[in-house]
Amino acid sequence: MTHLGTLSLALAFVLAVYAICMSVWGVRSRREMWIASATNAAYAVCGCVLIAVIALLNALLTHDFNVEYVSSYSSSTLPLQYTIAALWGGQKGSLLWWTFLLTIFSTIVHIQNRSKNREIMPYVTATLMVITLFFLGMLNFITPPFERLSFTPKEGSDLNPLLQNYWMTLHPPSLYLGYVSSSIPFAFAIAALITGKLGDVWIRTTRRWALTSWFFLSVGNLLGGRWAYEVLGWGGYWAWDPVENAAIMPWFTASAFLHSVMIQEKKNMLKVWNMVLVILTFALTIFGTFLTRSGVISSVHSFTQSGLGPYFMAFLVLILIVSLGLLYYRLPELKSENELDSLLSREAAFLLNNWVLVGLAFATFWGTVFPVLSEWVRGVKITVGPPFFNKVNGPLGVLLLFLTGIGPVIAWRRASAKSLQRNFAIPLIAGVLFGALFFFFGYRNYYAIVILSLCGFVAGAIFSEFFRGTRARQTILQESSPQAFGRLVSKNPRRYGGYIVHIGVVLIFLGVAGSSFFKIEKQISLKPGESITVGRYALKYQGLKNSEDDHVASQAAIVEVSIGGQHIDTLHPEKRLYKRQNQPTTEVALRPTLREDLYVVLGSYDAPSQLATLQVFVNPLLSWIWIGGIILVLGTCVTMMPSPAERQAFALAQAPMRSGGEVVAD
Amino acid sequence: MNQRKSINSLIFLENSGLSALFYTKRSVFPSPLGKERHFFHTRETLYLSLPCTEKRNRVPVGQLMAKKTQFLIGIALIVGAVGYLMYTGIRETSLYYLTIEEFATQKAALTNEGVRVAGRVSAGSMNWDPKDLRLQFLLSSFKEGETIQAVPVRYQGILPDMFAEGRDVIVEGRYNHENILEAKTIMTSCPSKYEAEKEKVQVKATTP
Repeated sequence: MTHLGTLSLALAFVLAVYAICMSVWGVRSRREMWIASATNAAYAVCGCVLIAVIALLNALLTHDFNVEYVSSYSSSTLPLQYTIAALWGGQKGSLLWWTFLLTIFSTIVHIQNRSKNREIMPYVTATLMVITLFFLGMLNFITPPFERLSFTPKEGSDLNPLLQNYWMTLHPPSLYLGYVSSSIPFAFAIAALITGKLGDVWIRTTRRWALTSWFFLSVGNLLGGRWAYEVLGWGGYWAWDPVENAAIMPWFTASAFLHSVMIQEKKNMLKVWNMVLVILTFALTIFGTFLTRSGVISSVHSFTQSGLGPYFMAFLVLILIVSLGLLYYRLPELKSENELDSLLSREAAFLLNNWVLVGLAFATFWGTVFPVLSEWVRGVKITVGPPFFNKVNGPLGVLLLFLTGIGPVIAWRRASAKSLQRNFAIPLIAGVLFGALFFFFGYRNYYAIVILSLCGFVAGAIFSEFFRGTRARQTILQESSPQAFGRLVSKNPRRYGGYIVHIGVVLIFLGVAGSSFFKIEKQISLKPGESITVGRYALKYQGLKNSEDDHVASQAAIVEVSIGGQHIDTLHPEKRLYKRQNQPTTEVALRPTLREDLYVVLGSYDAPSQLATLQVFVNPLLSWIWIGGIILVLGTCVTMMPSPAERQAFALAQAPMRSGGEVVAD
Repeated sequence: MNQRKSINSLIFLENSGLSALFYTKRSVFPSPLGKERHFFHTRETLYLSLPCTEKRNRVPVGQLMAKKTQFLIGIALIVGAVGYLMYTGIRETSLYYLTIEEFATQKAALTNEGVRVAGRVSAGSMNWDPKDLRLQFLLSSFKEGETIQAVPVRYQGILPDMFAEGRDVIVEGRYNHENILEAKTIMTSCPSKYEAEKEKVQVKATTP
């Protein structure tokens, strides 16, 4: 089976080369047959990679420890879901997984466009296949996933215990989906640049792809945060680690693109800027993939070096040179047809939001590569840690939050003083009330109060938008309020879905502000029967309890939690020992509520004396991050719904006969 | 003035999701801005059915300066803010990142500086007091046979999961006047998901 995998990867490599040549030559010499053949070759590449994935999965499931990858990342006692997760748990597997998703996406794109965009599709095929070819090259020549050992170990060395967590089975695939789907808008952008078909077509075609990419990047980052929170046991969810930064940077630029693209659609402006953002987003995903594998920047996640770095770097440089070169070549044709009317307009708010997002991406990039840069320039390695990112990105994030509130209520083109007064009254009142509320409940920190008030301001702005839209429909069309609300959203899903996403973002800010400014942390060693008070909780340590199976041995502390003498819960923070890797890990005991999370870690223990060291955190409002995340997901789903115009266009395309003589003017 | 009003109401209509309703009855066009011809056509209906909801002053608020200048100032402000934050951020939070060999040769000069040092926990040097959560150990070279003077490290807090003698660690803290590295954080090198080489060696080492 693994030979089949190796063979199909080799075949995929050849087919990808074929697809590139055929699509380019086909479109140059105007031969439809060649282009069609290239498309079929792209389908075949997908099939081959699928076979390779199945072969690797089969090797994992049958515990074929002679395969180096299988013996390194799985074991015979590893539970089934983690054995499947081992498919992307290691270097080689993750590259295969990347390639697999890319070929799946390119197949979907080809099917979607089989009778559309004839002029640019061959170049889209070529671009996608070049990216695929790079990864196939890695898989064939540098990191062959089916490499065999000269002997067969009796047992594998198991998947890293930190990855044996259900969030971790979801987090990498989601992040990869986000990374990989950003290559579709990139391919269309490149095709548009090559062909000179720089109109709205490529933007409209790839809008949903850009959204998809953004969606999975968001989900991937949130799941990664959730994983860090539950597994790493340091009481937080985000540490500005280089690997985390690698995942958040493309998210920043993708968010910028989703906003600025609206200005291109509405006003035919910012065409160059949008191209730059698409290219940057894709380059950052490759940079992220590079960062996690090269060992250039030391991170808690990646310590050792692997030989992949230079190849990724070369590919990254190639991408940047080619795409920016093409962009420069087409610069005269990308001139704006309009200009902004006023600084007090929605366009200007969007533009400002773009600058801030790119500023965030840049600052994060700078902080991440700073050790390398300082070593080049000054000869000393200087690192910047989380304080740097909090100091720089914090204020920028607050500015972004403010703009999120401004955007929806400021008028397009040019806002008047009067409209500003009317539109901003409710949000401002909401903001002040919200800030006062938290102040009243004892949240005393000016920076935090500013953020919390802004959360109220943004929420006020969004709710007043929903309210005004619903009421307008009610009065004009005599609809009942739920009906008016439902139709309001479904008639303009992009706009109102976007607002729902913003509500999610506000809640995330709420959770971040609450848990970073008002966190309580205590560490103490306790004997059985001793207690500790943290915030409003009293924790009483009762003793240790151990359990064991053939995969894991664990030792848990029994901790009784009470508030004001009232017993409310019993928590079991654990220390686990994964036997294969002989590595201790921490299982956090978490008691989440909407008001605050109680987070208890068993730091260390001494079995004979029953002495246990507990680390206790109280993280206010932290649950709102995950609630905000869920709302963000729902909102994104709403924005992906077809708009009435699209539904109509689709219906017309489906039934050309029925629509008869009626022609819709365009 | 009338025409202006109807455009405004149309903008509002679009904002509230009603636009599709009106567009589909007449003609389809992507954006109401810039295609004023159509408004003459639809003005009456719209104007009659909808009282104007969005009035505007004749003189807009922000036209005291040339638009270009306004935007340039905007860009300058953002770039300046990002630059300033980054500059002060780096100045206040940066740490020297050194291997233990580099640190050992220049530690006198680094007294009281924030440092981050990578090294190995020297065998037999670990002293952990679980009651008071105090840890002391010697940080020595990664390389076998390297003869640098090991640096004493002091730390108070929870012991990281994989901390043990012989492990590679990164210590972040300050080198004090007593020639002790006061650690604020200790990071143990977790065998990463992509660390293939080391594990291969392990597999080979354990199998005859």
